[in-house]
Amino acid sequence: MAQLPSWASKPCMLGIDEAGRGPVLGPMVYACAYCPSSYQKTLATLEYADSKTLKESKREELFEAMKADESMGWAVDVIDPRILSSLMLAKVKTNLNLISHNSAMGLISRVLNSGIFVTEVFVDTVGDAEKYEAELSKRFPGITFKVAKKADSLFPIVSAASIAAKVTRDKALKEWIIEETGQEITREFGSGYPGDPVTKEWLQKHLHNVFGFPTLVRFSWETCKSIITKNGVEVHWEAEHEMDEGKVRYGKTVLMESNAIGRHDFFVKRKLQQIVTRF
Amino acid sequence: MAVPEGSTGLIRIAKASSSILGPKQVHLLPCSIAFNGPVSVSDYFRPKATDSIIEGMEVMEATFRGRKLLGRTTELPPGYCGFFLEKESLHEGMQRRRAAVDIDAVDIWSARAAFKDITYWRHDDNPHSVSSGQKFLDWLQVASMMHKPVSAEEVLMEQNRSGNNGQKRKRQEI
Repeated sequence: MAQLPSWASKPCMLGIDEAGRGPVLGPMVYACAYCPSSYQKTLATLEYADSKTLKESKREELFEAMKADESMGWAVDVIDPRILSSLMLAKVKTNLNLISHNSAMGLISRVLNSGIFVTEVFVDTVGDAEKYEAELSKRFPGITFKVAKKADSLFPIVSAASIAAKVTRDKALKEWIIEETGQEITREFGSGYPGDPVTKEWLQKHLHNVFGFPTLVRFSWETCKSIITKNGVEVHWEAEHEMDEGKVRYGKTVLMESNAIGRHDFFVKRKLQQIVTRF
Repeated sequence: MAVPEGSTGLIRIAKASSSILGPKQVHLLPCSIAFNGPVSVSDYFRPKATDSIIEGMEVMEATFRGRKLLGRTTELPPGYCGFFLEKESLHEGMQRRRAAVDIDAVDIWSARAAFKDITYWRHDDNPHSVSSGQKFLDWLQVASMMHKPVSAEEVLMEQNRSGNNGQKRKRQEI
């Protein structure tokens, strides 16, 4: 958005959609597409459709056309799997719906701040549609919101957003640099959806008993949690454990915090324990 | 009576001078891992520098099992060296005892690696020095004061001081 388009001050419509919300790995991408409301009729003739119904090559072609279209603008928010995991597993947890809402609202703010006069926003449902619409209207007074199921197939501007999101996510996944070393990490992870047998097998194969998975994987997904619980080493977090006279309970195991009974408080607080009395 | 575990033992650090084993990095995590043994840590645990500075120390960022960790590295004070010890198996221990290394030793610990600093991590929170992970170094100061040789003059001074206090108290009683 280097230069403001000539239609920036005309009433504009904006569509929001996401790609990669369900998969157990890779980033989640939120995208928006926008255009002057007067462009709506032309837009409807441009083949924008729900990205899931289009072939990869067609999606890429349409995204290129969108970039070249002077009557349209777009923006994306790529949320790294590390961010998804750490927010959802934080001490104060943020659920996926809230992450999604914040991303969508961040995109609207970004477009508004760039000087586009947005008057209508179309968005796919995340969680309760009515609540979401109320929340959006409160945050952005003056904008008319339309929150609907299957918005990506109903409104061409949301279809355009879904294409931008999908192409961006596929590219991000393809270009993802695997930082982890030691064992070979393949890219044959299938669709990334937890139900996909190829994805499941990839996860099983790439489990590290201590570290879990490469950071491409979303640790907060139930699929990951259950694989780690079943085949990985147990880890329990200071913030999550229950103290019971020096014993730490979690799951089936009881770990001894210390076997040095009667240590002075100074040492207990500093986690120090004497192991021998002479050298 | 059985000797309580950990009360008497032997630490062998002869082999583990930092020049031989090479300094290793030690990470103190805010979790316990039900695993003991060698793991190639740097394959998966990859700390990165951040822009933030806490109490003059650079804050690092890393993830473990999907959690975000913030950490900082504290160097051991000059003159100190850390050792990573491993308790020898009963069998090895028995052999050493038979070799009359130390008849009374219950546990025998051997140094496997040496370290010069410790990186201490917290889950989501900034690693301040007041947190327990950082405070263990307090002991070094207390220990050095406890073991400082006491001169004859210091003993005399202390005696005089308590003597004077005693006289004062007597005077007050009168």
